[in-house]
Amino acid sequence: MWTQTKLAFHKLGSPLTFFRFAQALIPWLWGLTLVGLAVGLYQALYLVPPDYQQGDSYRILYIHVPAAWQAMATYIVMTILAVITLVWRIRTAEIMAMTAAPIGAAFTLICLVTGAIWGRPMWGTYWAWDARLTSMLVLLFIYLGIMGLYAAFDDRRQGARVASILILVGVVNIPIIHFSVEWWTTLHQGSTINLFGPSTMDPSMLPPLIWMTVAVKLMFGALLLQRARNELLEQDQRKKWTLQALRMSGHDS
Amino acid sequence: MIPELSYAEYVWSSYAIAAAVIVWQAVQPIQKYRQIVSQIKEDHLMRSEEHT
Repeated sequence: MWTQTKLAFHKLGSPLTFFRFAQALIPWLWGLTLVGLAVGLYQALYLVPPDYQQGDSYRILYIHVPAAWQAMATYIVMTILAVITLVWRIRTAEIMAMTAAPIGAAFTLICLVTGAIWGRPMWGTYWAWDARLTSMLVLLFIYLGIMGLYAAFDDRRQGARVASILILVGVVNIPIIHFSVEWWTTLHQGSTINLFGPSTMDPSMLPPLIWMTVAVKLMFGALLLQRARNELLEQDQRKKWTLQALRMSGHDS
Repeated sequence: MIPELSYAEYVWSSYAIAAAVIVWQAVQPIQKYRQIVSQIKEDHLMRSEEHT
């Protein structure tokens, strides 16, 4: 089993195999994402009851929380890929680490904007320099920094290696975001969902959150594969395999 | 609008902003892919003309 997994992992290092893998998986991931979003949004906006204190304002959390979780999960994925980049120098890992950054930035932006919009009626302000909010803003700047650093190099591989170091440095912000509500007195509430214990959220409000979270994870997978496939094609556009790959996927030249 | 869905504007604006960012994220790679595919085809045509 382990040998087969290792073999599959190494095969994905080949650009042509990666391209075919991405082409096969992308439509499925998008299809499942749309199903997840449809069910999640129907439940979030129509089925679940209003909150006894916040009324309908709390419905914002069904986009805010999955976006926040994905913003952090994307960074963890990037950290793993950055380690693979620096240790084994696998090019597809480099490309995936770099193309994940704009997706992570987009989810961080959604999290910050929806949080600010929710904050105005609930806290009376769009923004506070609170530990959770500030560390999330720092995450956005780290994502932008990684994108900028990667783009600054003419040699993409060198750029990816330098940006991977920045990813490893920036990972220190992830536990800060997670534990900020415990380490400091914050305006932001503490965790309401607990994977290893009872959640403080009413069970009737949980299903849409689960659907939206799963949909966002699948969407991340689809977006990452699309962006990585594009980057690989762009970097290798003068190589033979690209033409072969396009022929295989039905693009006649 | 369905009466049950008459939430405050800020609820809908949150969803609208998230949808806009997601659509932008989804459309951008599709456009880029089309652009790269046409570039590769052009390149290939030019090279095959050079050979003949």
